[in-house]
Amino acid sequence: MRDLARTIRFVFGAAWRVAPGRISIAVVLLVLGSLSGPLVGLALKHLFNDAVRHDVRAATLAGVLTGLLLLAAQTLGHFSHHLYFMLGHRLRLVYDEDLMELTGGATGLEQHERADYADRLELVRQDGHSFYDTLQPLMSTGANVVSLIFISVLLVQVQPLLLLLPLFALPPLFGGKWASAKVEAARVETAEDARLARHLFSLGVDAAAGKELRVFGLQDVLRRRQHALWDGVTRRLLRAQLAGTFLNAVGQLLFALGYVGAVLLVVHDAIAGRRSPGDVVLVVALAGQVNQQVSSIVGTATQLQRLSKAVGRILWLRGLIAELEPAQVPSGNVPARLERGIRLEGVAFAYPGTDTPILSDVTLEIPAGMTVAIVGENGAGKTTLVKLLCRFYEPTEGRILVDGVDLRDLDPVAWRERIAAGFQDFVKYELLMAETVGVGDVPRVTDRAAVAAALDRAHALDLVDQVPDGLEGQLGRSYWDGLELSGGQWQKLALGRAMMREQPLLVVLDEPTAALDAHAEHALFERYAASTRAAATAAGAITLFVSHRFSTVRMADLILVVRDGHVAERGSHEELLALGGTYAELFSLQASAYR
Amino acid sequence: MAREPSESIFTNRPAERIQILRSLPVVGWPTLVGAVLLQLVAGLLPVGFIVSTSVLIGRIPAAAAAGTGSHAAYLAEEALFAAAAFFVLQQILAPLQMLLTVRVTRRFDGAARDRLLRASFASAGIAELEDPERHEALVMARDSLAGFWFSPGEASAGTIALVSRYTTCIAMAIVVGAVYSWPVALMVLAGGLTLRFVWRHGLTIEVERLGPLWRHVDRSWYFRNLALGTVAAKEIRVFGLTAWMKERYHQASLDHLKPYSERRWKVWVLPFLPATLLAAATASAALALVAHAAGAHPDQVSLQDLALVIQAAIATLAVASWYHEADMQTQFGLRGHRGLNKLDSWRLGDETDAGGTGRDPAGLPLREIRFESVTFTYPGAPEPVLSRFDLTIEAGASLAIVGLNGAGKTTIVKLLARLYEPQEGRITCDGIDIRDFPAAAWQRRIGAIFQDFLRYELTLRENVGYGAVELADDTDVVNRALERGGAAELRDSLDHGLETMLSREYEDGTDLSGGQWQRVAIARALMAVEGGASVLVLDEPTANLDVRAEVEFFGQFLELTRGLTTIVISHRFSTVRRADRVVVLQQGRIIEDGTHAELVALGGLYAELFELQAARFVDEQPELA
Repeated sequence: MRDLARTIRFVFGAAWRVAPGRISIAVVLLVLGSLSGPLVGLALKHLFNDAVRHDVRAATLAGVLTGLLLLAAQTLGHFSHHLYFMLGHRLRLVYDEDLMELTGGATGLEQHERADYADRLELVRQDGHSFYDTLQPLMSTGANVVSLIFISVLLVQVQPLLLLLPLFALPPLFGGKWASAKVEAARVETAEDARLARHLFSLGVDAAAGKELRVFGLQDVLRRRQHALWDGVTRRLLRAQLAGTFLNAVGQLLFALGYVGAVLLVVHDAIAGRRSPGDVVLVVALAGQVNQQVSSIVGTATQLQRLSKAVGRILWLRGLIAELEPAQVPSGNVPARLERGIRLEGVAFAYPGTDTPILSDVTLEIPAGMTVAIVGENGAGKTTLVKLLCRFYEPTEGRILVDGVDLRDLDPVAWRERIAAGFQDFVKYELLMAETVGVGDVPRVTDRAAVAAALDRAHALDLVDQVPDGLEGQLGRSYWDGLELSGGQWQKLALGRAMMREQPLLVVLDEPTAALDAHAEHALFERYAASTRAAATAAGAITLFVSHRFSTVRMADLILVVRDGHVAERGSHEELLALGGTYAELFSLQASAYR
Repeated sequence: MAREPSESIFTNRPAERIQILRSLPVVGWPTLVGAVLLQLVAGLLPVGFIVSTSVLIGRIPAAAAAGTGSHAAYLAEEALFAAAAFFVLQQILAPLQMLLTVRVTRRFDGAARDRLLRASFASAGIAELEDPERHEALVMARDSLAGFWFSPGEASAGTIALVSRYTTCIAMAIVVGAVYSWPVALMVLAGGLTLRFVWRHGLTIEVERLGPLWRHVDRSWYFRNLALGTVAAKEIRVFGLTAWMKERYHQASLDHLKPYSERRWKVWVLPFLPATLLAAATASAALALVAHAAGAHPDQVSLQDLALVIQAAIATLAVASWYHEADMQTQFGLRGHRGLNKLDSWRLGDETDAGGTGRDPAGLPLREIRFESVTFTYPGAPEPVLSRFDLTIEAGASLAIVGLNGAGKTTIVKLLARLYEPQEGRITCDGIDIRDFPAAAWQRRIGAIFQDFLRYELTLRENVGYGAVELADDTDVVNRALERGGAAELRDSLDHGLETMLSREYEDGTDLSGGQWQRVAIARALMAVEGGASVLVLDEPTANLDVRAEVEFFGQFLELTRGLTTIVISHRFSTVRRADRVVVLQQGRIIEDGTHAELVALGGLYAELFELQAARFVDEQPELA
């Protein structure tokens, strides 16, 4: 009940803020519509009594009134629906933008590692499909409640015992609840099979997957399996549905008995002369509606519950993120240029909710202006180091100092404004090509010259000529008929994005060239080396890149070999080769291809 | 360019409804007949109910006059029990209708999914699936079956559900006509049907005409999902994108909402006003007339008649409403039907084409595969990828194809596997045009790793075994493929070995890393070889492997490819140099051709690329030694 009150406040509060006039009219129309239904019963009662009394004028009038009320009952709700349906769409924007602010505005990524956050966020994302409908369950429940109360009032006036009638609507309610619980349980039970069927089905209708399915001749196998899984799920669902049908029928039967009892009572009163035929008509017409109203209320109750949960999830996310936000006010300023550099002191890190340290006791000094390569096997902690520097996470132990100031004391937004980054799992923004690059520096997203310059620095300017419409071309096909690029082309754009900011203090490149061929990689690094040198002298910027390719790595001033969460080896290329450790071993492995 | 549904999709709706009716038997005759009969009965029960309640009301004055316990009171009670019986039956029937609805829906959709898969697999290649018109039909059918909208099955069940609605409406109008007056019956029916038509028409416009406006929603959804998802979480923070994305989301949403809201007003409000007034006028007139008649001439219109006519008129008018069990379903589900019907119309042609002239490719190639003056342009692309392209691939040897991104390397492989057909020229295998073979038989000659190889949410056994599905149960063969592909260690590290489900979304399942999946894909291609394939295609087979694993893989390269016709595409020289022959592709042409040593000696593009890479290693040799 408290949830319901909270939900009503949340939804109607937003509606009132967005469009007070619309929501008011919608509510008035709806209430009038829901009163009209029961009023039809009242009008009919008079119609019959007047006809029996041969009061022709009154009966005729009652006939006219009945017709008007009937249509009011049938269409006022519709007009109201039009108003709140469109309003619902506006509300969706309000919720969504609120959520975007909430999830994107959070400083770190810690919440992403939490299963409860991830689950709820995923649900909230799915809720979105029905989020424009937030008003609908509340409005229809409200309408049904108004109708039910008014019907009850009218019935009680005929026979006080009829107040019990809504009680008879309880069995179908519980029957329905059990029935849907049974079906839901079957759905959960068959979820894996249903998922697999969906997976196979979507592979089967996908052109890209079609290549492999054809070459390996898997068409029939896939069809058969998909069909068998679907049929299996169907069988189990129908079995549950059958049990549900039985429960529903029993519930409905009990209500029917209550209804018959109600009519019987009034008919007896009428035979005894205590009630008029009009009263019988009223009861016949309205008593049956009690069940409809109750079952509609119950029907929307699940929607209402879902809505309540959705609202609850949003509020929960809001609370969690507020809780995770760093408490302290930034006390340090991000320096205009790096003088000394970045220092890690005894840094240890374990992902939230795990005990496994990814990094432990990392202490190192990166002087300003230096280019640093991080190498190591998968899972050694390379990317984690990058993430800590971007302040996606806070170290569990130790601290990171930027020119002597603890990173925690810097405003994260201001710090990130001085980071240029290209990640391994870069985003394929389906925007105009210029925007895909330009978002690397939002204030200049529409600055075509800046975009072209960044692409040039990323050695990707040739891409502009390769695609129709060049910088103005729409990319991606998931919502718009845009251009699909190859992996290498996407990667070049991601690099261009990383090159957008012209005065970074830290350049982070996490495996930026994995999808490029040797020629492109070489050209890129030659050019990049030239441009970083410029940036490095201007702002003392540190370039940090993660790579598997030793041909690239050896260009760095400092190479860090990360193993099991430690910096196992450090030094220049020559120093590390001389050391004869992991680096030397891996290097000679790769060099063997060229000997 | 917006992805607007083509105009042809909107046409011929009555014919489409008939097509739905025609396709109904797929749910099975007993189910279908049962469902229709049930709807018919459900449609007629209200008639029984109003007849018996009217008799009851008509008998009340006499019963009241005779008093409790009299025969007249007994007659009234008799009518009451009849009414009660009809009411009870109606109540019990509703859950049964629901059951049959679910049954019809699931069965129809099951068959429809299989129909769609069959249509999707009908063509030998995948170019057909990428044809814009077909792609659109495919997406329409796929989305409706994947639960994004109402499914074709729901449309079918919804169509059946209309039976009870219209049965009641017509039967009730007949009652009004028979008991009181046919003109009044027609009047009420006309008012009700007009309003009903406006409803239905509104829905049609909403879906067919306003639907395209939703493309802006797709666009706003893109921003929403990007902002709320985890994919872009890092970049959003580093680049500070939240505010920008919010703005884009807002704008894209308004681009949709504004015109949508205006159009909706014209569809859902304006036409409703006159229709509502008309229906209200006819209803009021009819009810007033019969009330007047009953009051003025009780000898002609008895109390029972009055009750009957009024209840029947009200029930007739009920036709003018929203059918929650049918309207959305039939309207939206129609799209799935449309997509399916269109795809079916192409299917037969595809299946014939895929058959070839029936020559058997078993055991081929023995000598060579030749590309003879092949020209190929991707559908919709301005320039050909390959033009008058010639290449001879010697059977039993390995060929590496090298070239910059976009040079056409992967295209060669796709043409070879008949995933696309060249527009000009031909590809022959030992002199036979590969189009003469049944497509499926030829494709089974090939074992392949594509760059975007598949990651089946199935067991390890199936993921490997699907390279030669008929051998998937043969554990020895699967293990052999795994071991040769360097994935034996992976298998042994999994809790349930071969039977481990490779997705954490399933019980006891586990997720693999990119490198691990790559090994599984290699094993799958080798499984195809176990199944008799003799052409091995490796498109960037080590892209996801780390240095150590890559070196390991190519250490085995010669052994793995022995006796096979191998085509390997890679930009890693560690891979390329081990091939018997290397061709360098530039803008769809072979510009260099020879062994690694020959090409390095030639001093062309290959040598340049190789030197670039090698220069970073070779000067270290003294130190390494």
